[in-house]
Amino acid sequence: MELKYIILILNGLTQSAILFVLGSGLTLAFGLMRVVNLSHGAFYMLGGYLGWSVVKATGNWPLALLVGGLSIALLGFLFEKTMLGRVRGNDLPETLLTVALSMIIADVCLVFWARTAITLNVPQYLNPTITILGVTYPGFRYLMMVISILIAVSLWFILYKTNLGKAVRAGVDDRETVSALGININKIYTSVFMLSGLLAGLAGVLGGSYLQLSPGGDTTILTLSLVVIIVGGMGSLLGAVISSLILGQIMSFGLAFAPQYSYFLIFIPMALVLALRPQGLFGRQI
Amino acid sequence: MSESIRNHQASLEISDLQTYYGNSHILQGCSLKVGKECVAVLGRNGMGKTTLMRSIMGLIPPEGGSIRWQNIELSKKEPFEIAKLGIGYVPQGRRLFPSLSVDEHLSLTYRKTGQEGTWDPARVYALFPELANRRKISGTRLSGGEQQMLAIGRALVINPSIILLDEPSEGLSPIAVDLVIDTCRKLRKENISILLVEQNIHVAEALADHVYIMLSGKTVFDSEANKFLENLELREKYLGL
Ligand SMILES: Nc1ncnc2c1ncn2[C@@H]1O[C@H](COP(=O)(O)OP(=O)(O)OP(=O)(O)O)[C@@H](O)[C@H]1O
Ligand SMILES: [Mg+2]
Repeated sequence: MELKYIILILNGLTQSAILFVLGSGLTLAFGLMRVVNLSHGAFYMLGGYLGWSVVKATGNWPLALLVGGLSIALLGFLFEKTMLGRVRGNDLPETLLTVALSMIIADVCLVFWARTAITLNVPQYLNPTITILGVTYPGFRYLMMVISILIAVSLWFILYKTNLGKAVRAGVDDRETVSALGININKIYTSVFMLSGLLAGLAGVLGGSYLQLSPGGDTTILTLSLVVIIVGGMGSLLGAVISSLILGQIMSFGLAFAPQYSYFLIFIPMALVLALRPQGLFGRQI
Repeated sequence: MSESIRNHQASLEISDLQTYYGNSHILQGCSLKVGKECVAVLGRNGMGKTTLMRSIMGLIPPEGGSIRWQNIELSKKEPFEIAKLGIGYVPQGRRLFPSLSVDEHLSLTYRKTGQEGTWDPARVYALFPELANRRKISGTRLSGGEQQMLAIGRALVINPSIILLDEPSEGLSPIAVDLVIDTCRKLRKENISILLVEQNIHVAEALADHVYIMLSGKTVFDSEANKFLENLELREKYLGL
């Protein structure tokens, strides 16, 4: 295969890595809570910006990843606990609340961070040039893929091997029966929303190191994450994996061969899925 | 059991319960008592029996009346708090979790207590050996009878003092119905109270000490189980049987 295509595939995988971290958070929260968190894109942005400031102040990228993830986890926790939890079960107020939060976050970002596009500086030691079988590619992008895989494995472990995961899966099936069996579903909701925030924050730091953070970028990111979970099936972890892999390649090849249409191209799989299998590749009928 | 003993021992006492689904007034004054016994609530389709069970569990909080359980008022509590006070719930249609294996159903709510004689998954498997061979498969891929056993097991591992059974015989083969009856007798021997909703008069006959009749969201009649069940006129009047 031509070198050019190998690089494009690797770019696609890097893109998939970000898409997965982004989409898995949204899909987990939606699967359980049946509320689409429209501030997911803003969570990503804020996580990215916080990470950017940490890198700027300390030069420590791993610390930036940690701070970006944990602060959005905390934000998710507080938001769910103090606001979202109060209107549970009422779709419209739930959705409006998440829209309002995303607007507030976007404005806060405008106040504190640059009005131009910025990118997180990745230290050289995390970005060695790696040559595998004659293909030279930036080591940081491999690192992103590894982080994404580690996150996928951890999520699988949480969902299938822990008590929290059992309760989450049962809650996705039938939240009423779970609560009638003595499980405080509200705590489960809060934990999952927090986890979802953590993933959005991590995605923001990862994405902000590979792509750019710019004002208004949150809506693009939200759109991308919605496409990921619609294609994969809302609530499905495996679906998020597969759809990120597909969409990453489409974005990478689209950018190379039809740059003016590259954003538009990702909606083709979405349209196909909606037409042929509305519940998504791995979703179940709701 | 004589009336005075029932009054004395009642641990669940429901009076004048009023429950709405949106604007429709479903429970319009439901009252009953359960002591250390099996109480059956009988009534035709759509009379509000399931609504009564769901109200007790806090799944549709009642807007009037009271539910007292061991002298604690339940009507303002959350479902998980109610369950933790020792009320096991086996919903109509069983409502197992398709994503969970048999094992996971039983470990989901079980917490070690370390006490002798508590219901843990191992004890549930001893009670229902047919489940033990199928631990790893999804709960909803069991036969109807096995699903009912699992739904009962899932309620037992929270170690309840009373168990609410909503039409446990619905859709089961005669053999499976006998197994349900058998199981309930074992639970009674363990001194677990039972509040049973049934359409199958034979199950009620086999198990109930006392019966209540529900008509359009009201408990309109109650008596010792035998007295009601032997009275064909009353059976015809309330159940059309
Ligand atoms: N979710 C709901 N929303 C509105 N009305 C409901 C709902 N569930 C039940 N009802 C109505 O409440 C009434 C009582 O229903 P309920 O399920 O309690 O009856 P039931 O005695 O358990 O009947 P069955 O023997 O068929 O199980 C019925 O008229 C039913 O149509
Ligand atoms: Mg019913």
